[in-house]
Amino acid sequence: MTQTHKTSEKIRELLEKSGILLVLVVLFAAFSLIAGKFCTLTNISNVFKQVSHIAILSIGMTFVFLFGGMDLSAGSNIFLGAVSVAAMLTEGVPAWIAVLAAIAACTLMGALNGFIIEKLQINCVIVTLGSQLLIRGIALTIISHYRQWIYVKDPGVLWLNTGTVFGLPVLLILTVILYLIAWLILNRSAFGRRVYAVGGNPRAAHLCGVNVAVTKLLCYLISGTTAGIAGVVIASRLGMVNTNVGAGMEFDAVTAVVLGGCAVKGGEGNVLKTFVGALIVGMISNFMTLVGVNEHYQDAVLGGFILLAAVFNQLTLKKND
Amino acid sequence: MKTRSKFVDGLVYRLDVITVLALAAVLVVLFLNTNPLFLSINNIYNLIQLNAALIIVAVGMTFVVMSGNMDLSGGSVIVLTASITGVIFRSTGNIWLALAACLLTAVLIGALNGFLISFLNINAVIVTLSCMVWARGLALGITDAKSIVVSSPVLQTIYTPFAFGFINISMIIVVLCLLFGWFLLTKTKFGRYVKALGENEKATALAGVNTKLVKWGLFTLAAFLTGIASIVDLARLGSAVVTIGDGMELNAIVAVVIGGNRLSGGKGSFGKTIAGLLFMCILSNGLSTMGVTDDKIYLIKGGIILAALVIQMLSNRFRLNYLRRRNEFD
Repeated sequence: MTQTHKTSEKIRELLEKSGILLVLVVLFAAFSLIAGKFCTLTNISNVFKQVSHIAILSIGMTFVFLFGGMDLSAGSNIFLGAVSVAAMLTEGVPAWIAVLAAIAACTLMGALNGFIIEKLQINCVIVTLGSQLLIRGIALTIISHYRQWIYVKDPGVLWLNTGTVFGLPVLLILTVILYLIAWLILNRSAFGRRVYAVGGNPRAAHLCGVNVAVTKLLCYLISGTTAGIAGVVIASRLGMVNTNVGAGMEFDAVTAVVLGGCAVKGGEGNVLKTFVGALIVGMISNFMTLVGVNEHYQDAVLGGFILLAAVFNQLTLKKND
Repeated sequence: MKTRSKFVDGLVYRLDVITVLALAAVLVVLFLNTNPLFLSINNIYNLIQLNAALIIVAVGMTFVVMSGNMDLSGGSVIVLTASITGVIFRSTGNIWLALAACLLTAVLIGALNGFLISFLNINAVIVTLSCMVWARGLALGITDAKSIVVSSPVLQTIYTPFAFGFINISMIIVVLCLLFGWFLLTKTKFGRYVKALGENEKATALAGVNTKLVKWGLFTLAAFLTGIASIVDLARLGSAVVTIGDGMELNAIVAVVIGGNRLSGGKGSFGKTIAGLLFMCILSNGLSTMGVTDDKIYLIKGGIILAALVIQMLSNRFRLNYLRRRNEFD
């Protein structure tokens, strides 16, 4: 009796811990059965490439979600990153300087968000909605000097998309490395502990000597940095930058993070699960494109998916209590 | 001495509204530089006409903010309901059926959001954010991202003056919505409960209020008002364009918050919302009459909104400190 109880308990625990993996596997199997082209090596490698920028963006979003914040300016920030790297390359700036400068610009925007939200204590949703406009405006101003359309011709930057190392796409390796770094920061460093502590109980964290405002500010800054990297990635992937880049990508990132099980209240979540969440988002959009779903309905489905994920999280949370 | 101090006290007490009015005045001066006709009767009339939908959405948003929540779905609800109105009108030609469907859709979306937020206890930002995405996707899907002309005499009367050469139905709708919101917030139990919810949800529930029902009701109410706003905007534009309602959620929240309503809920009034609306209306109207390109509009609008939020926050900090010190010394 106790044995079976223990077994069912174990299964439940396993489900909770790896429920998201299960969803990934089930969806993968279902998609492969429905669309024959889905389960081919080319397509899977495509999924990884298509999902890379969302996955990278989701890293920063995870940091922000972990303490109960929100960064709605991430999509605009990707646009800024992509535009600035493309513009600088067109002006003949060396590739590595252009990439670093673009990432720095986005980091600066993240820091600005963090400063206004944490130092001045204004609600994160409204600030990042405002800075969404501001950052998009800056990027649009830059791109308007290039007739709204910039090609990326630098072989080094394009190599990010086309290149392979040991037979694996560079983008996949880059994404995995970034996730490993994020995992190390969150699970093996004092800063990561502080982020979880602030998310769990800011007051208690403050009393334990954690500088709550600075911790949160750094998370917004990281969100800016990952947006910058994602911007460079997308510029390389598309080979050009137009005014549509980045629009609505913050929602994809939020979906990935919520799918990964970050409690929106903060203090819970795992960056590796976010990666699985991002993969699911990428798989769904890839599948819908394969079976020929209209792109607008694709948005509608993905929007509904955030809801499903949130409901699912809520139901599993209730079980815990 | 005593009276002067009282006068200063009164000023500081109303500092939040004074700040936003001062900010609005600064905007007016700035816009007068580029457009000398900014304060002409014609333009002020336009200001109210163009922003009728925003004012109506802000009424609902006041309730949502007062309860300590946030609704990001406004713009998408407008584009979805307008698209549904357009599609139904195109296929049946019956405007009343189309308008009823518009309001019904809005109420259903609000009821769904409210249900998820209050009964399933899911974060309001996540729920309304997802609504923002799926509703827009659905709207673009059913219209195939093309505008649908809705030319109906019923809609045209909304913007046709019928008295004194300038009063039209849109104005009456706006005034009615404001009065309705003010009455609901200050004179009814529901309004009290909404404020109590924003102040302390747990205590309100312990006091015997069905907080879940109130929360559900207020999201439904906000969506219903958004549906009305959608009809008004549809009448103004004459067709369900894909950009209808763009940025509405941001404009409405900023209008409510910049006027001095506390975003964490509990404190605020309709006067503050109206002051905030004045600021937002001047800002959007001024930017559109300035004749600058889109990229500059984003830049200037985002910058001004952030700056205004910071200024309002600083003035509010000063105000609270002043009032606290005063109470200590009294």
